Amino acid sequence: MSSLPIRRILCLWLPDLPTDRVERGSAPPSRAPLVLVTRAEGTMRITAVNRAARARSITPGMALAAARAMVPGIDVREHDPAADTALLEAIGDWADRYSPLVGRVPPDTLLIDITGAAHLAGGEASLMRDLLGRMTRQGFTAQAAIAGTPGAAHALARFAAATRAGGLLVERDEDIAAALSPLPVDALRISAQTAAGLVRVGLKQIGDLMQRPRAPLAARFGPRLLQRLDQALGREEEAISPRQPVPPAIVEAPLAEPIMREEDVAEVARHLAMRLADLLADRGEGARAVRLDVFRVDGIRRSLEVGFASPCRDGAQIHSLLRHRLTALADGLDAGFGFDLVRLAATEIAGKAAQAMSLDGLQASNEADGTQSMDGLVERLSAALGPDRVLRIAPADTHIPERAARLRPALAHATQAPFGAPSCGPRPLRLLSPPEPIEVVAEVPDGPPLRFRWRRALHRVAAADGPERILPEWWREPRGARLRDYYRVEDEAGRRLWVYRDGLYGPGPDGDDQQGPRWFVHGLFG
Amino acid sequence: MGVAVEVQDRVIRPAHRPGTEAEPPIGPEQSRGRLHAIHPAGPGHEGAASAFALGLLLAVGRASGPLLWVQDRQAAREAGLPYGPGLAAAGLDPGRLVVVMAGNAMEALGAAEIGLETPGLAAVLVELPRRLPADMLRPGKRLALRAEARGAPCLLLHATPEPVQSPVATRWSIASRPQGDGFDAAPAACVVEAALEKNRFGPLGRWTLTWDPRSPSFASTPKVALDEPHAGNLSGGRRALASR
Repeated sequence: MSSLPIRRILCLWLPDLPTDRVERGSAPPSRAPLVLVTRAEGTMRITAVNRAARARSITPGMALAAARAMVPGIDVREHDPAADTALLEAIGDWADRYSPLVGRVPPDTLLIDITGAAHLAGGEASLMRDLLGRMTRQGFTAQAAIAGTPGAAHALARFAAATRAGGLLVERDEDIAAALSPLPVDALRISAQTAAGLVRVGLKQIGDLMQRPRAPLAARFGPRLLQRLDQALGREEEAISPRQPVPPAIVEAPLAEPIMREEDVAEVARHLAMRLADLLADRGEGARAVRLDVFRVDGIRRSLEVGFASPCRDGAQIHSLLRHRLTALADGLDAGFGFDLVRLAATEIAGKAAQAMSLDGLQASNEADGTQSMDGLVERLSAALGPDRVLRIAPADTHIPERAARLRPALAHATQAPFGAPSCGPRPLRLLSPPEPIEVVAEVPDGPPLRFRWRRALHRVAAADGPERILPEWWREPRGARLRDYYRVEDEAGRRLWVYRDGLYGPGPDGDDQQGPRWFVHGLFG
Repeated sequence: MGVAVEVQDRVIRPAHRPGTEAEPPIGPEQSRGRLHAIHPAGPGHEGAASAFALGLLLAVGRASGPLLWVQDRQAAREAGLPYGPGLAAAGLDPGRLVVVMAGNAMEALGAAEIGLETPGLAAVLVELPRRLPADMLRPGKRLALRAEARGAPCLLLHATPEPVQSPVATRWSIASRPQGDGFDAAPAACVVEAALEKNRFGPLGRWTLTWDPRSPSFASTPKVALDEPHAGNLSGGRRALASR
């Protein structure tokens, strides 16, 4: 056990999450019995009860009719497991304030890896008290335990922490075995069948299991049982899978007094941006993406993300982009009763060599450098409008006109291949996407259009240039894709358009008449 | 040398002595850091206005540095998306272009402002939708100030012919013009009729402009001096164009 790294795991159990979710909406919280029901096999079954109902001996699994017989006029609501899951997710997001490694164990448990994080909250006991206090204030029944392994913390939180208002804390790993011994075997997170089987042979407590030889247990109950035991005791590693990957670099500012104004948030963000920049500089890295999390006192978390075209460790630049993002928020940050924690994390980093400073301490000005200017432009616009609305044109090696150049998000595709000299016919300045169908009178079989109707206006062609024949890419197009003959036409007013005929007039290669060709406007010239 | 003026309908306008050929005020020297408006002369001339706007972007913007094109979604549907090969053939390096898709006019103007914060920006083109906010003066003033501070021109390409009150240095009305005798010119040639209807820093005028992708710049044929009968009333001139 000592070979594995020392970890400290906090398990938070919300035994009445379904009913708490329903009840906390109403104020003051009523203490009447409440059950949640689900329709199953034609009857309504109770799937969750609150404490008052439990006190009246109503348990999950009973039929609603039976419960009604016991407590007439009992409060009944529909059980919404989806809403419960969403709430657990939200609580997990909020618990992120203690540590970014938060794993959810549906339906009602969180496992938080607080290794190394507890000192920020004034110690493990203080952290747990703070967590439980906040949960209680939010209207949740909560139990918590801290131990050296997720398995142990889970078991203790559910089965031993009921009587501890401040949570149960197992400080040393050596004490885990002793703490777990008196707990029932169900605490090991095994299946109900396995637990029943163990009880039947007289192994009721985890302590009984620990003394038994291992091989017969594995043979009788399968390897999972021993794995769970080993995980709880710390002999085998168990990972917590957080919902979001843990950011490689984090700086945060807990605030003694909650702040509400956006300018204050921006100012805190500026301090954090400078600290993050220093942190990245020490590590020789730059951030490609950064996330600002602000935590409200009542548990809601808002996040802002900005991306960089090239790795950045300039605090002023990080702050400037965050400001753009903040300003662009449609309805502001909605501080509620205030934010009491602000965190800035670099979610994506890349190596970045240090730049030589000039002798007078100023960094060499690169403003004339086109790449930096382009990067700065793209970053600012992406922060303000969203990266999918800031685009650049990327060339592709294909004859099909609409594929030869695509508009793609600029931030994600920082490097651009240059456009080669066009080795084809004339190309329009602007391309209609999709091409617009037109009605055409043209010489048959392959003459240019003589007149056409486009957008309900009749155009008479004064001059035409073409055709330029573009064949479909047989390796990509579906069968039946037809060739296109493109014409550059100028109408009597001088408007110049790029039109094409999709398909040919006359019989096809098989001898029978093809489906008639169709004409389109594809682009506009000057 | 004083500027000769003429008075017509109790409005004083700069007059043009017949015979002098004025070059259109298109060039980096005259246009650095200013706001310009471009309107189509009438329905159906949006393609010409758009092409002129792109040419102006290249002609008055800095020679290097990113070009920002803020496009409105409605404009993208009606007039099309920027097309790399065509732009390259016209002399505009598509690698310099950053295209922003805005949802409405305010967003488009906001994006232009952000673009003008960037050092090294060559120029901005804002394609505005038909529906404009009631007050274009204030956002226009902000843009004009930023453009001047940055030293980069900002072009406003409108979708409708009616002039909009905003602090622009020049206002153009563009119509398409037939090339006449078939397509002998180089494929990327574009010919438009450009009428300069407002010019805070020089005379008005009307020119036939041909785009030369090799320079790249406009070559002009001065169309008419200002003492033509309908020149004093340029809206009359515009109507004449549209009825063709």
